[in-house]
Amino acid sequence: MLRVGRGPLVVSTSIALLVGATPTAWAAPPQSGQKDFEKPTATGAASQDGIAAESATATIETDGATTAGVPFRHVTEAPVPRRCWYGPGWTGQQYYEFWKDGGVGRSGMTGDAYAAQGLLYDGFQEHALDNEGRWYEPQCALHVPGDERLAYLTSHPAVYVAPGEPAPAVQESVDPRVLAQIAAEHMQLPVGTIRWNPSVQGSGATVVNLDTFVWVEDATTSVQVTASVPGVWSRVEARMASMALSAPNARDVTCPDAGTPYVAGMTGSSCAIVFERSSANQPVKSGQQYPTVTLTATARWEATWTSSLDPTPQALEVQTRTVTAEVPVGEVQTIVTR
Amino acid sequence: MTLRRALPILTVLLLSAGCASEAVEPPGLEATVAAEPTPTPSPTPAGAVLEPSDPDLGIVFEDVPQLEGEQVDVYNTVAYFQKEYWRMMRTNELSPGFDIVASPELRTMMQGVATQNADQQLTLGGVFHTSIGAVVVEGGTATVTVCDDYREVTGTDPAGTYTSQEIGLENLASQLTLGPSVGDAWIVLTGSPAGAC
Repeated sequence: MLRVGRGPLVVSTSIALLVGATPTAWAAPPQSGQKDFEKPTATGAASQDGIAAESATATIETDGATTAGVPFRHVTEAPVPRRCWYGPGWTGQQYYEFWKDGGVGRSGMTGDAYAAQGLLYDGFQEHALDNEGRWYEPQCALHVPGDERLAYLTSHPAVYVAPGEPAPAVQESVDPRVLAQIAAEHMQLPVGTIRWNPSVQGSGATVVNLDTFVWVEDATTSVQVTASVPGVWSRVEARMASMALSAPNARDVTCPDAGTPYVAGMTGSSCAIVFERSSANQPVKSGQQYPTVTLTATARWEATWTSSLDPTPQALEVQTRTVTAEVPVGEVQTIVTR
Repeated sequence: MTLRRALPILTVLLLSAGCASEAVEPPGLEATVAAEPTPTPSPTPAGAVLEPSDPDLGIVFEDVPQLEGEQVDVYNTVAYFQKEYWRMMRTNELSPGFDIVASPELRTMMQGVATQNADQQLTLGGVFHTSIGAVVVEGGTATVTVCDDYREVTGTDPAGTYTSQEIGLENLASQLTLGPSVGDAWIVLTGSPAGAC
């Protein structure tokens, strides 16, 4: 009896547990958004709701030439913080419905006072039924000083764009100094490859106590970078002003350029260094077959910038580019025979 | 006539913002169920014309401070900003009213809130209590402290109705910074957290 009695009891308990574990239809409540000043505000493309972007896209064009006289050119884009701009806003109907007499916008004291000052868009009643055409409104980013913002807003009335009509030409108000900075940051200066002569066939070794002609192959010698947004451009022009050579057991040298590529019969060079000791006592570095010294060439670049708003060149911070090479240095042994 | 000039000047001083604090039940006592009192707006100081509460919209301005001069204009701008904020929270849509009192960056933030709630089919209702205080005007800049109190706010989605706590609304204070705008008016440029109310 006891065993019989226990069987059904156990079964019943199991069923009860299963029922208790059955998922219910309960779901977590939705989580509401609210003002959150800890999150950075988003930037990006304008939305259909008329929220304008705080960044524009600058086009960056780079033109330059290498030591071999080969021109190069490339174009890229980069975001640039806007200052003030025309952004797409409300449709004619949305704006009218909000600001019309008796509209929601006039229900409060402050909104009514705003309308009473004549600050509503001119002719907004004419677009009361247009739910496709859109107002383009002057807007300024946070970092724009109050005086500049006010000047822009008061001198750029909202513009209505009917369906099918092109948006007003965008005249970005971007600080040319910002564009110049972006141009400078995108200034690509390929460092090239160090070559030298004498360069013994096989080892590439030069020799002590003789001028070793040095040049940098495929180095950039001049570059021009233009960053632009519609209505504003800034251009950075840079050139290699000098190149410093340094190496252990050699006096430092400053050359006026990236050196002169060696050709047979050449007796002098704009850039030469003299090694005073052999590298024979140096270790064989990784990737090398012979003991070497490290030759360092540091190019010094001077740059200026101008803009569509001011053609006067203004100096930018000097930049340097460094390239190294491992140079075997040997001694010439002379055998005197009688 | 400008917005500022349209507003009568009040010659009194203001100070701090703070939300009405809830009474704390002494430990050991059994709470009794009572109807939650419906706060009423604080009286507007005589002589000042301040943006009023809006029962239709469901927004109540509390602890209305005593203000003078440009503080009145700043208060009204922020009050209008709060009304548009609450309108957005109720409709999940921004309105053209935000354009006259909020910077593009703040409108972007508000659009994010509206989109988040709309994506969840969440709509808010009830009464939004807010207080505006610590109004300081220095030259072309003004700051205020705002408290958002959602205690009487409810949320609804297709699955049901929720309290403000259930949908994660927190009573938070923030400091707003304002700058000059067209028409001799003010615009809210940015904000920063200022803790709990």
